[in-house]
Amino acid sequence: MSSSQKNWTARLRKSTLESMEPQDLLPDTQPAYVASWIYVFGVLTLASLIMLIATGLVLTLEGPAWWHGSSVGHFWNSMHLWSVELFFVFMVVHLWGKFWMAAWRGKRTATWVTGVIAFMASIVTALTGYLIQTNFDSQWIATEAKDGFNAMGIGAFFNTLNTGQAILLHVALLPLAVGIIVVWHILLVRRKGVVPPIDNDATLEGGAF
Amino acid sequence: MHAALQMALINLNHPAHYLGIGPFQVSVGNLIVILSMFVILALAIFIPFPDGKDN
Repeated sequence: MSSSQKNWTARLRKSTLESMEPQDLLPDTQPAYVASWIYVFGVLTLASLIMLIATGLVLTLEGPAWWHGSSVGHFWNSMHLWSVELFFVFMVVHLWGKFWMAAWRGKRTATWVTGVIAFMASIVTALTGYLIQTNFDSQWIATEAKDGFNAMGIGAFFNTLNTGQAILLHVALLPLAVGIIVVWHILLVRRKGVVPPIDNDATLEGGAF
Repeated sequence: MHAALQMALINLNHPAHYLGIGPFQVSVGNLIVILSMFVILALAIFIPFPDGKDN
């Protein structure tokens, strides 16, 4: 190995190219078993997440007085709400579909686990979203959730009555965490390929195909 | 006219209706969403995908 190949950029490039080829990252065909509606819900979840981030960015521009008090603000507030409703509906159907096809088969454990972590991180992100509505609903949820978090012993770190903390968690840390986990999850799906049906184990560990 | 346009198709301007069996309680709205997810799952499994091509 030459000196230029020992530095971390060269090693990262080499390991990246070895672990994932461009045709795996952006394939133009899929196995025949993917032609089923149950395989659509992952990308529907991803589309909802993109809508969530886009509408959330719009809401950050004007703030609560705008989304409570103007018709345009109501519109973007509603877009954000319905994006998250669809995000969770699609994600749960995706979860059920993958659970019943045992999608962790064929060395796809990391894919399954990153999906579980993304689901849990999304729930916490949604909770902080409900906490920063700045209405009676958010006050009710904050006072009820406070007791739950105190009972879990983490109330000293995460105080649901602290709206400032909830805002920062919801618009900065948690979306970043969900985004990174989701990108990781998608890269693993592309690297290992879409899991085949249970009665099609011949293609179980065939990479993307 | 403007007020009529702003009215929801279903009037949601009231406290939520709840169903309960023993310690379990769920709002009608949440129950509808959960049942809808079961229906969507069943439809996704049984409705044929258009233009399925063998590779």
